[in-house]
Amino acid sequence: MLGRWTHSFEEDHDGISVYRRDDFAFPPARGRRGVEFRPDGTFVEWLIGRGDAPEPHLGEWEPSGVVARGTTGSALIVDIQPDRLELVWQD
Amino acid sequence: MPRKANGRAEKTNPADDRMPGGMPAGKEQNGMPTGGMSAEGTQNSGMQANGMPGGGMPGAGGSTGSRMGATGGGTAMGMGGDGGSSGMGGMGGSGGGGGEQPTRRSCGVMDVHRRLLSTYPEYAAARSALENATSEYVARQQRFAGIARIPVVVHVVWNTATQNISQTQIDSQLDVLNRDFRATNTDIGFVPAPFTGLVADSRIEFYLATEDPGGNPHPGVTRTQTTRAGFSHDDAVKRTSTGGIDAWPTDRYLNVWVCQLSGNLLGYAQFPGGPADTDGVVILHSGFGTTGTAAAPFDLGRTTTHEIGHYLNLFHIWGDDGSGCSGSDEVADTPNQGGPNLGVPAFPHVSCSNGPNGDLFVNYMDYTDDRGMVMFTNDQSTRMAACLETVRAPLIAATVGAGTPTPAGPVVSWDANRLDAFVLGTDRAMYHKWWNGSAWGPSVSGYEYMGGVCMSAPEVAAWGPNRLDAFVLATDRGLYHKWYDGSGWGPSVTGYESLGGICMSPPRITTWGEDRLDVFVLGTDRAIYHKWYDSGAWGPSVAGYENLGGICMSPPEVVAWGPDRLDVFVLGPDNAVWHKWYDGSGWSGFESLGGVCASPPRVVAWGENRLDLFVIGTDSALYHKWWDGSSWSGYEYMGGPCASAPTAVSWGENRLDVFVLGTDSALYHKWYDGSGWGPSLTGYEYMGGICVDEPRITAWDENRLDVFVVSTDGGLYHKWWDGSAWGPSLTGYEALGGVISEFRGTRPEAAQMPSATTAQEAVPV
Repeated sequence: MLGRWTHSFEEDHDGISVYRRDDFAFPPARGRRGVEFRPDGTFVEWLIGRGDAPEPHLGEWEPSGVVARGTTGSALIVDIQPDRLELVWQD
Repeated sequence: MPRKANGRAEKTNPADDRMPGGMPAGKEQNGMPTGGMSAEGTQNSGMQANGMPGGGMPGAGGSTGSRMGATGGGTAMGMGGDGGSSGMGGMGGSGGGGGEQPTRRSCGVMDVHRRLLSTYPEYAAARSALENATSEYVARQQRFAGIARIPVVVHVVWNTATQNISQTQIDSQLDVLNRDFRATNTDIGFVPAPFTGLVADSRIEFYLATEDPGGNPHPGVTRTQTTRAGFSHDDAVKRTSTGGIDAWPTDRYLNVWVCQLSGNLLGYAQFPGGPADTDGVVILHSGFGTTGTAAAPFDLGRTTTHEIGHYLNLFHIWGDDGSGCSGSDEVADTPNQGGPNLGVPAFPHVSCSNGPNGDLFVNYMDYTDDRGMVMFTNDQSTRMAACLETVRAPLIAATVGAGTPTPAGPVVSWDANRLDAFVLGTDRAMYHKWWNGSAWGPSVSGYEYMGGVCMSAPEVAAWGPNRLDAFVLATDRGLYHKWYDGSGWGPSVTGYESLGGICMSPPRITTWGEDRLDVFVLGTDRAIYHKWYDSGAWGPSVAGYENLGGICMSPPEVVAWGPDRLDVFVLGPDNAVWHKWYDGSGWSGFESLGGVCASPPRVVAWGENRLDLFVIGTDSALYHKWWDGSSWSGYEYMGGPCASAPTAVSWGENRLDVFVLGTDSALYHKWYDGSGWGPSLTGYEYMGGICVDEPRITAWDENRLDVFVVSTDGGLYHKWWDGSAWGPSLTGYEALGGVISEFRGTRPEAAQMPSATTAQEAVPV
């Protein structure tokens, strides 16, 4: 789970957001958000910046699987595999 | 200049000597008609005499300099400077920022814009100032005429031969830009019917530069081989030292870097107001143009269109608040939208209760695939125009009738039969012309180019013969100064001395004698700040200011009726006039002079210890109040309605001349001759014209007046009173050039106006 995941929005289903590792063959997209789990408990949400460069928004994650997202909501981990992460975002 | 406004005949009936539109009934009284006025010299509505209402009056005197901020280094924003570049103060440095190296598809470094906003208060101030300037521009409903053409340099930075894209691919991108920004793109029919009324032709075009920064012929494309496999958004591509290539002067060229971008990034942009050396856009080579390496679904050149939208100050259409509904793109005619749209949605795509038509996902500032974005809106177009006519004005100066002045500045006289007029050109540089007693220099309709990129009309003082001091704000809202000493301009004809500050009002200047200047501005806290020039040195320092407190809603109005005497007038948050003064030993507190004013106060002194104050009331009438040496009068009603702030001048003791614009935009005049007001207390003399800015008046001798106005054609016009009659006639005007057609400008005959080349060369780099 640690490390960076990029939103593979083409695979989203049933309200679940799907993330992939960076070596996944993403189709080109104008912008992809991402998430990152750091060992110190920091959760980074990579959003699209005003000038298109990505920008980090810091929150924290807990081993229970509930991710504090900071300002806009939280994400619940519903499935985790080596190459695939599924999150449900809640306001 | 039309000699008659709206077919109005010259006034002959004295009973009719008042402003058009009639007079408010029952207002023939002292004291302004709206509530809370002081009557007849009383000190008004229970306010503290010292300290403006609204709280937080920081008090008089005190801190020097520091609150004005930004006197440090950094990159000068537009304003030239022989006097150093305080400029953006602290903005220098790369836009890259720290953080870790991004991995392949996700991203790693904090966005430049947000990092600078959070790290450097000066950047926030510059952005805020630009946003204010944009609002003012939009409110004026004023747009450039003709086409703005932006010179582009494309920097191809390549690692593999494939990335060294062809000239054909580059040309295809320029073609796309010139269709997209002119709304001539062939896929514009993709706009859903409910949105077609929003489609805008921004009248902006792009061309590959034809000269390098040194003026040598150049194709406008640079090619640089790099050892780096790819670049992120840390701006390394923008520097030769980090494997990219340095920008060409970013005030004169739109720099476009094309390279391999990592992190699944198609491109990124820097907003106006940022560091000069990284200004421009960066585009992934396979998202650039329509051929060569361009790859679907980003092979229609729209990534560059989108990034240049940012470069011209457009925000994402969804408001950059993630997927929420509270963010704004600061554009009025775009629907509120949740998050970005990806791919190509089906119409309608509703979010944020914006049904039935939903998101404007066909907009260039959304995130759809290239084939899904096909238009800018009218208000986006206006916002880009505001950017091009303010902070990015030098970019288009060379192509838009450079040097054609749009007069906005004042006029001073340092001797009998001498006049100096200062205006801003469409390139926002300063221009100057003068009357030497027998002729206009450099010619009747010509202007002398004086450089700069100014955000305020020049304010000029003359403390004696052959001396002029001109002050302007630059794009960084810092104060800049230049002077004429009888032999030449300092620091140079086109250079400026930086005097620090982040100013929220134009400067106001006065002088009480030789070698003395007093300069007043509002700071970002809306307090009054003061600096002075005395016998060769600036006080409290070159870049420092004295804080005089207050919370001011108008630029300070300043008068000096004698040596060591200053009187400063502002509107407070209550829209009353507040007054403080310097008597040679120290500053007073704030005194309320009452009133509920719809214009800044205008004050003139005809002699020692005499002040005459004029304001417009909320009924648009003119009001007058005076200090006779011992006390203030009440407000005297003087008729109206007036469509501009008053301009008052005095050529001698017991003499006042007041000019306003009427609701028909014509000029109106009234005068006081020591015994009474002419043509009557509430009447006005009609003086013709259709004026777009308040008149500027100077009097170089007894019984002499020179009046300057700007007309709807952008030209400067002049009339004069020679002691017996108005010239060229009561309602006629002498044209002084600056006639404008193409992008605000006809180029008048050669030699009258600076040439485009001259203007461009003179832009400080």
